[in-house]
Amino acid sequence: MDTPLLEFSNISKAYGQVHANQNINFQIHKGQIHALIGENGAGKSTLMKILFGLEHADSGEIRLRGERLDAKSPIEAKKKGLGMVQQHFQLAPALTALDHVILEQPHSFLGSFFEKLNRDEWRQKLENLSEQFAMPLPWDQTVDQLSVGLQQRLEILKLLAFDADILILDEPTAVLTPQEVDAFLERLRSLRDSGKTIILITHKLREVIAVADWVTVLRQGKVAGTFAYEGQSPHSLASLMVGKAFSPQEFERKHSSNEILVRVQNLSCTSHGVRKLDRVNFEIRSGQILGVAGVHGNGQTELIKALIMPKESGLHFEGSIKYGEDDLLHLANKDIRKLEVGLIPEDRLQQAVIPALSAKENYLLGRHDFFKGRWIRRHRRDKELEESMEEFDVRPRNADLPFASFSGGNQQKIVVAREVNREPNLLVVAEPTRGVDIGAIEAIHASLIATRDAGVGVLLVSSELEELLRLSDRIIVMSKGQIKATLLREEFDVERIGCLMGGEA
Amino acid sequence: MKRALLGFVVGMTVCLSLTWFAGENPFHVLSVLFKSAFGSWDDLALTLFYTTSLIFTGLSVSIAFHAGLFNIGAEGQLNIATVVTTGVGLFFTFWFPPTHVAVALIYSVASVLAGLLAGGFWGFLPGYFKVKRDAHEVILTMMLNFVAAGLAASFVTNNQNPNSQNPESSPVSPLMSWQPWDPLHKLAPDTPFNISFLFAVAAALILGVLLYKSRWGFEIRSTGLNEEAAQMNSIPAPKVKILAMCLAGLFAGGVALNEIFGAHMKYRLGFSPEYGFIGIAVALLARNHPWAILLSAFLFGALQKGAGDLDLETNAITRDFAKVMQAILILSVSSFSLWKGKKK
Repeated sequence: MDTPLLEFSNISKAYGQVHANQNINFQIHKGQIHALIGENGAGKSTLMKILFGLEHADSGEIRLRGERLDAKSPIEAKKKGLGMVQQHFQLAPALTALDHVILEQPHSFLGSFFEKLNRDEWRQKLENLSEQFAMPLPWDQTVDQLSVGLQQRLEILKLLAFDADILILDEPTAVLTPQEVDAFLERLRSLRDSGKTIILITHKLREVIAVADWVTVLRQGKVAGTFAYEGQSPHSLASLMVGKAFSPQEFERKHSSNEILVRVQNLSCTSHGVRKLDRVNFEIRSGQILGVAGVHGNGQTELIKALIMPKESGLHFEGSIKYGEDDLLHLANKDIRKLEVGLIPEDRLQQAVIPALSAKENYLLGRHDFFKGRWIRRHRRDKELEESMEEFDVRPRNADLPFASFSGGNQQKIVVAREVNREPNLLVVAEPTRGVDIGAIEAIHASLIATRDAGVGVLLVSSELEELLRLSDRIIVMSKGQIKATLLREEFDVERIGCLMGGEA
Repeated sequence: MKRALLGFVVGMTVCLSLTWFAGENPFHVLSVLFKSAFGSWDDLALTLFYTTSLIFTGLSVSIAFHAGLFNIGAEGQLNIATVVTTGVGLFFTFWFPPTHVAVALIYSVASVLAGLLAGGFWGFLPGYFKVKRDAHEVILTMMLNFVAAGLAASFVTNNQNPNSQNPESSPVSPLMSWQPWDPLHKLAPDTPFNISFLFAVAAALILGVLLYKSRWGFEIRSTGLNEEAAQMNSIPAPKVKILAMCLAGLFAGGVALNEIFGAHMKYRLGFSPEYGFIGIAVALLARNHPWAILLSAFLFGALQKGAGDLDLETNAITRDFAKVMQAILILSVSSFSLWKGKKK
């Protein structure tokens, strides 16, 4: 058998007590799409960082075309033909697409002062490249005018322009609509057919099924399996990832009550001349989950801010949000939260918690019931937190640890527990399972359903369509700040929602 | 803690080797420093007098730090507080001269409260403009230092002590002095050391408890560590920040207790050897923990006291060397305590 393109042998890497990678062994063959899957914290990112020279392995080696690759920095890795698209794009909004590519070309520091930017030459070259890979791009537009999909295309073309032949893509489809995902996967196939090797880091099994030639599953820092994809069922992959038999549970649908809890009327918001919310009308009913579908950045963020922190957000809202007697738009966050409104915000580490504080202290956030005047009701808090950690199986079960030392899934479990156990009337949830492993997803979903069954009105914003379809009683689809449709459960249809998300009627 | 001590030793070694380069015998320098700071009962008392002021300014800087703000204005806040304390004291002295000690005590307490409030106000200003107008607190507090210095100079010009050649205000009525009943003063009657030391220690202990155990401390720390999360979770971050700055000013104002009624009874222009700025060092070294500030304030108090005598006892070393030592000690202690071992 010929030498593999890339070979990982005995790669280990530990951060303090945590073994991020342990004796990783597997091979990647030329001209394949190699899916690297695993739960969050399984060690995918660490491994790719080592490959790309951002981190250094404690032991073991990586061989590229049979030669030892010991990239000290990304620059070195790029020279050897590796290219990586990070999950969060590394683009400067004010530069044009063309300039981004020119920026990447190697140059000496002194030379950079005198070098002429050969824009015309580059444009010609890039347009040829675009054509060759069927990925057209408006090269002279600045990045802030490009859609997220086009930004991603730019990141990939940037790699191709400098002849990368191993492309590492970290969760590339997280930002795309379902239609865009299909087109994107199609493009990956054609890239492969032109001889490129692609390492696809993902936790979405659908993508693996669609394109992968070879799959490597990581679990708890070790390789749980590496095999040609053919003949595998998605469930067997999921089981490998989690380490136990996995079958998603169907939730029973109870309709205990469905009174109108919140009535949003003509809610509009304009920020920097852009209409972020455009006369939005909907109701949240108690005992139901209202799903909000839409590509990220179509008004969901503003919608949540209107519900949770209209005053503090710095945005100007029109319309009204009736919640019982009150109009939430006229209240401060503190008072809204006192009306038993729970919140699981989209950006966990930025908005839900304070990573430097302990789990115990984080459990106090937004919980006015844990305060008595100026003092903290320590015992009540400790008792509830202990029970929550037990119930959600949070590990390690030590509430005094800094929040940042828990893994993503365990962090989110604590946040969910905090918001659910406050016994809210209204629960606003955004991206509850982003960056969370499969086991935790199940626990979080079950908890949201239980909350709904207890009669709580839930607003669920998610960019994971599967999640919405699974949990919601109704779905509203947002595009460009408008509600394009409201669908009842019987009317749920992936195709249709996808079209609506893309802005088509 | 072990690392911090190691850092201190290394820092001291570096400092002393510097004196060697300057042509002094480092061991001589060390012994002068040590004797000056702790050599006699009176020396120690003077060290503790400096320590008292540094505890107050250290707390001032640290509480702002906890709320995510950098208070460079402790110097201005303590100046304003001291001026107002003196001013109010003088007002009583001239218009309602105290005849009885009890009345005088009430006057002095009222003056001190006025001074603390004024310090608090001097902290409120940058806090308010930071929150409402997004003006940077570092610039504001620094500028307000100059305003405070100007006001203090003008105060002294208008209330110059006729019996003195130094730029200082007239003294307040001696009846208002705390010295007659001050137990700490009796311990070292020849020094300005006074009961304010106990107040400072109490303030630090109480602040430590409040900061880590009360709702209010939780809100301040949350705001400082992650403002967005605080705001989304029922903590009114803007209010918390303004409050923290007010308190910062108030604590800095504590210096007025130590300076006026505890010791000198008058506002002396330039009385502060930059307590406010050394306070930043004190807070840094203590990593903003109020209890640790007690220790680090003592250390810097000793340095401050020792450096004064170095000036007299050696040829090559001047008073400014204290600042060099402060800088080196902060760098070494903080780098040692932040060091996470060898990077692989």
